[in-house]
Amino acid sequence: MPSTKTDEEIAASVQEGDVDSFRELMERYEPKLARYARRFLFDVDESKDLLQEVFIKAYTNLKSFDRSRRFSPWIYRIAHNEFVNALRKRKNDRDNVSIFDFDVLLPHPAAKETADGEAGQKELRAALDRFLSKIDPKYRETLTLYYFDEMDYREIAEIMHVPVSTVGVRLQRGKTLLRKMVEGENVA
Amino acid sequence: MDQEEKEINNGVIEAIRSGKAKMRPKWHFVLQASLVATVGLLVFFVAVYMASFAVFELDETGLWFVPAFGAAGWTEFFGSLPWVMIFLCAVAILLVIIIMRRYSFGYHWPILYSLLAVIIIASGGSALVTRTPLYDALFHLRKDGSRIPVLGNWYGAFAVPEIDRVYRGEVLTVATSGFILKDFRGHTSSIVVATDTSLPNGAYFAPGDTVVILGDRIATDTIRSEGVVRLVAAEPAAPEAPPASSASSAPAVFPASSGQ
Repeated sequence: MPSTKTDEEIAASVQEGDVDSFRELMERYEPKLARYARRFLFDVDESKDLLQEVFIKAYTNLKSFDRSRRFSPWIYRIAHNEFVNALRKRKNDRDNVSIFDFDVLLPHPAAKETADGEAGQKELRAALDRFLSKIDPKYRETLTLYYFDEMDYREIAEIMHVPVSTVGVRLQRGKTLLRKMVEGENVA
Repeated sequence: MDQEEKEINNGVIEAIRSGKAKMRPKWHFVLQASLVATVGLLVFFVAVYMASFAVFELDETGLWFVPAFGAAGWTEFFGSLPWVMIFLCAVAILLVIIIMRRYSFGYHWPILYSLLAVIIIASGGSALVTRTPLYDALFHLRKDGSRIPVLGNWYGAFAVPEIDRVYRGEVLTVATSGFILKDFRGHTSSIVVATDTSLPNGAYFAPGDTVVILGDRIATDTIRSEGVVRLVAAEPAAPEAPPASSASSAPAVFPASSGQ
């Protein structure tokens, strides 16, 4: 039976030596991270190996987790690093995952979190499922975290180590790309 | 939980129980964070130190002020900048920004803001360093021709190159065709001020004025000036009887001759 403890409380137990509690953390995060990996990487076999590596890294580095902060962005950050490294190793995606990104160089006007409405969200998710693999990884990741993992701008910024305004810009650009793809499909 | 999830979870637990995956102790992260912070601070201080050297050299040689002479001044300015030191300083600043981006206060802001913050703090820091007694002591050693301890060779390699056409110093005496200048290394030269000499802040010079000259050395101890700019005016002296010779300690207005 799943415990009623928070992620942070379970992480604290594991830090104190309760290895079995780590299994519960994995059970909570495995579906979320697996979905994140599949939508970001589009390779089921690779995702499985990477996910195992993410949990091993999370365990190894668990004592660096600050209990006063939220566990979710911490483990997603580990996953983000693993996934980005995996993309860099791929020939086709290497150019799309650069070490330096102009999006984080210049300031952007503060982007407000937009409410798309329930119908709009459904439509967007459906379009994302169809076209996500064709979108640049930096927009793909932001869209996945926002629409499927339902994270807010601040959490996404924390995971990707970018300014909050950059998250807003990437979401806007990602949505524009998606809209163009949908329109292109309708015209065809 | 599906089979795939179970496989992943069991694999991880097995790695933990077999000792393949070990939890790193807290001190490992404390040490790591301290090392990164220390390296970041050291690199930052290196940037400040190099910037302060560059600023001091530009100030001492008078290179800062030559753009006042127009296009020729700007050409001399860019041609004589200590580019190696500026490049190393830029690399150090870049390293500081890369290290800063490991921390939330670094990645929460666009890189441009971090860059500006580091440059402003480094410039402020270098301005403070130039006001410390240690700094004065080091540069007196340098002026005397002594080697700066530890940094002697390094400094020689990266400092402002010998600038042939820019001279900074103090007016010793004024004469009809110019004045005698004592530069910051203590050498004296006769400066010829001609009708075509650019005088951006006036043609009035007096003994004790600190000036920067752009010009060519036409003899061992004679410089024909293309431009003269006064940086600091001499303290007004008590009136005294004019000397009999043409060289005078009284103020003079140039040009009094057409030069050479």
